[in-house]
Amino acid sequence: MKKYEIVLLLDPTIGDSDIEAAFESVLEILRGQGTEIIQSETLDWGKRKLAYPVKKKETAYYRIFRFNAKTQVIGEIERRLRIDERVLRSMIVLYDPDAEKPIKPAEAKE
Amino acid sequence: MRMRYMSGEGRKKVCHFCVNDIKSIDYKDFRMLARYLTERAKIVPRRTSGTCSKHQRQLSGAIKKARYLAVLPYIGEYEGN
Repeated sequence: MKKYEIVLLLDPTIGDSDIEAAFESVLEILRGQGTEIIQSETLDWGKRKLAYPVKKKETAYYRIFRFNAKTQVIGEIERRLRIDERVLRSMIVLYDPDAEKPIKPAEAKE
Repeated sequence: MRMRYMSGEGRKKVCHFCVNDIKSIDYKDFRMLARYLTERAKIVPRRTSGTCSKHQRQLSGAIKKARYLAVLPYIGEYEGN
């Protein structure tokens, strides 16, 4: 088991009222592969403007989840996410515990 | 703070990440990453920013991840093309 971080960009046409359910059902793809999602570490960036259009969309719902999973299931998760039309884009990376804490004070200085 | 040109005696540029004791650069910190892009969204070279080689490698990786996520642009807005 390793700890991963997934960034999900969901289709803006889903709309605010259905977005919770949409994220939840996308997470089912992860759970179906025996992963354990760490809900308390979820980051919600909300609806953001994209830096460039993705699948003809100018905005997307961003949310970042952390989860524990076996290495072998990652490929299958990525495959299933590509099939799901609500997912504009996704990226799974290994969780890096060094990446965030020290960076916060530097950001605060701005 | 962004660009310090050599003048007079010459100033030593120091790596922002070493000074602030940052072990690992986070691809999610796009506001910080955006400071290392030029107008045309190119990654600022080490010779300009003064970033050390270790952090420059991390930085370019983080910027590329952020670009993939459409949080940062691949190409900048340039007026008059």
